[in-house]
Amino acid sequence: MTGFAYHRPSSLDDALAALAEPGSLPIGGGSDLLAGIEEGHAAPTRVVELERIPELATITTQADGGVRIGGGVGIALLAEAPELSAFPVLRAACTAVGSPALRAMGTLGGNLAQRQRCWYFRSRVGCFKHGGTGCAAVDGEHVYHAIFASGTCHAAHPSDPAVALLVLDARVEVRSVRGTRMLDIEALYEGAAENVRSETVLAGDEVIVAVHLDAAARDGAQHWEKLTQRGAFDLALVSCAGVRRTDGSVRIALGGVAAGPWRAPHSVEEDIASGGLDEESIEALAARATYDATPLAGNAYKVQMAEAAIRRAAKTIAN
Amino acid sequence: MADPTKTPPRFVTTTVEVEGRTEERVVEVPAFPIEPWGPEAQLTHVGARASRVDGLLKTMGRAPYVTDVRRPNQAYAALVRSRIARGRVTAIDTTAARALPGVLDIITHADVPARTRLFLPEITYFGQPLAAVCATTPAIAEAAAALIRIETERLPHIMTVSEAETSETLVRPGLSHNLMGGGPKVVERGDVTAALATAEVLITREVRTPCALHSALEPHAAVAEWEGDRVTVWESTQGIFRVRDNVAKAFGLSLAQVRVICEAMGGGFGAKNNAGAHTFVAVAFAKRLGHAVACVVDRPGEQIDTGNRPSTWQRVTIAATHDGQLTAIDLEATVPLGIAGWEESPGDIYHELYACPNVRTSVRIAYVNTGAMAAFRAPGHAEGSVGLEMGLNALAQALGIDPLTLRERNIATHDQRRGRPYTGNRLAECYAEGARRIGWTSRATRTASAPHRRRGFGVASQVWSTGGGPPAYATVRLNPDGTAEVLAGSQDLGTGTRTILAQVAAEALGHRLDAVRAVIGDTATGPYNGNSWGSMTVASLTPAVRMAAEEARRALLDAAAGILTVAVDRLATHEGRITVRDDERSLAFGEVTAKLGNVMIQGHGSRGPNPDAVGIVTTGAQFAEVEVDTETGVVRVLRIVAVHDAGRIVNPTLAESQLEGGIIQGLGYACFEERPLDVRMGRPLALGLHDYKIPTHADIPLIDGHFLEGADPQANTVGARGIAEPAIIPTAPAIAGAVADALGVEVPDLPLTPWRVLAALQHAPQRHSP
Repeated sequence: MTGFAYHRPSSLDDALAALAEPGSLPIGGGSDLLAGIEEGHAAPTRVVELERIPELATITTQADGGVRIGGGVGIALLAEAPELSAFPVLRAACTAVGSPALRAMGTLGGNLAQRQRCWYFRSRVGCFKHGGTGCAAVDGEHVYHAIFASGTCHAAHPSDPAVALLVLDARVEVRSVRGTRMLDIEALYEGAAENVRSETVLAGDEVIVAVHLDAAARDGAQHWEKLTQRGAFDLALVSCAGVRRTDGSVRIALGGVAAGPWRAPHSVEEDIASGGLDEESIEALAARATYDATPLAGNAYKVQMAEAAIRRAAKTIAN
Repeated sequence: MADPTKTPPRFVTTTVEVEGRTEERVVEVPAFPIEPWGPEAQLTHVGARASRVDGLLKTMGRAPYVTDVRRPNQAYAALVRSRIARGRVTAIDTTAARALPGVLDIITHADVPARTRLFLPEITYFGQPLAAVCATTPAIAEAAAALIRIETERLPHIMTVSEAETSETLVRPGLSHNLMGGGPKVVERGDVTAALATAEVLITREVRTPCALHSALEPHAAVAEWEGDRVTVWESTQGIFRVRDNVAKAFGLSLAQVRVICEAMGGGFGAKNNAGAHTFVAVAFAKRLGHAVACVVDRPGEQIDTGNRPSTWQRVTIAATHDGQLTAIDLEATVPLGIAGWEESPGDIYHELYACPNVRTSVRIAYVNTGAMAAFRAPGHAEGSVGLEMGLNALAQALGIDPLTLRERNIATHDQRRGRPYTGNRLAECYAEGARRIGWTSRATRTASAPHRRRGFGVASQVWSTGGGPPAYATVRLNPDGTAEVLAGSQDLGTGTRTILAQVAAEALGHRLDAVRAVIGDTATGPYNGNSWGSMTVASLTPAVRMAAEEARRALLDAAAGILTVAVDRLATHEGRITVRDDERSLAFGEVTAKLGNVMIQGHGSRGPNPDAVGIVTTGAQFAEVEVDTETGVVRVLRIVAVHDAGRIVNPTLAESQLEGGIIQGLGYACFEERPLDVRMGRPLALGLHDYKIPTHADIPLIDGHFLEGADPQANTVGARGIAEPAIIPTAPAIAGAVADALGVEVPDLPLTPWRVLAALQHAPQRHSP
């Protein structure tokens, strides 16, 4: 690991100004960035600490029941935050992250912006994100990779909270010295399979200031499941988040299957929302949900897992 | 009749088994006979649940591991490794690295003694060390290592047994054939072909076991420091004397010029049996620079270049009578060994575990362009037991016999491999006790926790030679204040050797445990002991400690008899006091030793030979209870019951702890662990513990580990046998059996990942709930 400067900003503006200078990278808990520096695919000359900036470190419940989560809030905190009791799917997804140590260090912003854990990417070999051509995983070892291809990269995004945030229709508040913009969580990962420098659309000087949850996403029926090999410290082979809102509408999303969190087709969600499903129709709609899957030679099992996860989600939130 | 006027020979030859290999050794006969502690012996410290003597230090982070060693002006080395699997070095440019402030020295092939075999320009595997850099800090050394430009000419690599067999190319210079021994190694007992031809029932199965990595949490590490023409090496090792020998040979030194120290260790599992590249690099730099140099292998280096348990393919055919008597076992197996290693055959356990008159194993071991294998806890047996036990399960199913009953009907009553009796084999009792603990006969009544989950049970057995043997030495000395020290050139891998030696010495001396301290881990202070490998340390060393303590006790009693003016045979020792039979008087040890002052009482102990023509083994059975999610293929191990017969257990707490360690490692082997390899690139893909998955705390099931009470006085004077390797052997096959039981279909390849389980389920007959 090569050395870098450590900047503890006095304010958010100070942090943004620091990040506007080339060579600076934001750091939350550092659990991904420091590994990236050690592995040689991140080389900041300066890291800018975000965790202690008040705007980033707090969870605020709005008057209408919506919640604003600072990007620097720790995953462990979120997993038990009373402010999120109406969003159990997010708490469950945060509880599912890594291990106690990683949850203690990791922040929400850092978790959403973490890099892919593909072993070719991490080894810096056979990966277009490291100056190679194409994706070595396609004809190589890809048991953990994506089954919904959206571009050159076949890695599956590692974030658990992103999957929960997708079914909560969360919006991401992004800021830089150039201003503030609001992104749907889906838009945050647009082009993840083609972007070289990042899996998000964040520019180099932008940080995730907050994640916003609308009051309309509170309560209803919420479901979370993460399928892993081990009992802890594993990325999702497949994860599934599902909600039935109080207005009856349904959202289903999967993790571990695409370059970003993956949303089920609307027709599938609508069918679950319509209710009155028997075993057979649940099986049919789960199969329909994965109809567009393009698994590689060695990871078709994820399609089976995804269908099982969707069936279970449909059953728990249908009632 | 022996001539009483003749002194018996001081040195004789005996056989010792090390990890499945039999070695002939010259041994020293003990100076006086010692009555073994039999099962009935009344013992105070031996058998007690004494706390680990260095437990507090370890818990507080103060146990001195090699990476904690700080010597004056200590510098740090980093290795530069090959990024290709086969080829040759054409040029090395160190200019940029040398220019980095803080860089002290760089060495390549030309700079090291040929006997170190370091930095060979012929590249034969990914991760091979090609150069090393030394700097004032580890960070600078790493940064400099990244700046060393190595140009290589790439040659095609060979990664599989079939390629190795058919290729004209040899995977490395110096080989005459890519197959070890030039062809399959065939070992046969009886007449397998004839027995198969007349088989009443016959099954055949193919299984694959993964390449597993030791993944010790403490990396390989060495610190070397020269003082004149002598070098001291602090090394994380299973064998301080072996490292001494390795270093002396590599650098052309006498044995007296090399001192090796290992105070504390964070895991070896077979991968730390020798000096490694990191050792020689530290020694070489330290000599060139004139001050201490540390070389710690980083995690990627650990995962690619410190050894592994090679993968295997096994095709097992088993024949039996209708009532379940085994009549023939036939194994064909292949092992891609890596670029080097020794013949650890998955075949051996087939010849030994179950009673069968006709056994044939044909194993093809191929050298391939991946990192060298290293012994890994029960090398060969852990792999072979998977095929053998899965074959037995298939046979039980074909016969319609309970898998436990089938095993009970085929217990090996003697050592079939070598045609000799065992000192004991209480496997039948292990089966019975294990079955009772897991509730084997009522297992069908245990229902799964959800409709999409299925519950299953499995059983597997284990045999492993655990007699240990000579040479092993210890000195026990009494200080003027009556405290005692055990000196032995052994090492504590984390198993608790230090504690156990103190327990045995306290027992034999009749001393308090807190007054006895074991001083180990230093070739300069302790007499010779071999590596802590092959489940040998307790059975090898504790009899020597006992003898040393007995000798010291005799001297102490002689002195006490003089003080008390009584006959020695009226004296006894207990908890640090000397008592006199039919007399009120007693003396504390310290009262006697204080009178002697610095006239020191010392006892010398050597390990006597093993008994002739008898096999000394630990046997046992493990039972697994699992749940499998049939929709997702996820396996969860709920419970492991382990019952083993290892003779006398010196410390049940430590023994159970070691049992748990083996079981957890076996669980990882069964469920998670495999080295991913890109065969096109010739490179391993798991460079850390993220992608190479050892079990986490959340994966550890309820472990009910139990040892049968008893002792093996025929084996040695302490009556103890080893337990390290027995612990891991049956775990994976017991779990695999339980998964097959749950699913109604076998998953032929380990580890039992969701994708393998789901693939197997696609071939499963539809099962309907009753």
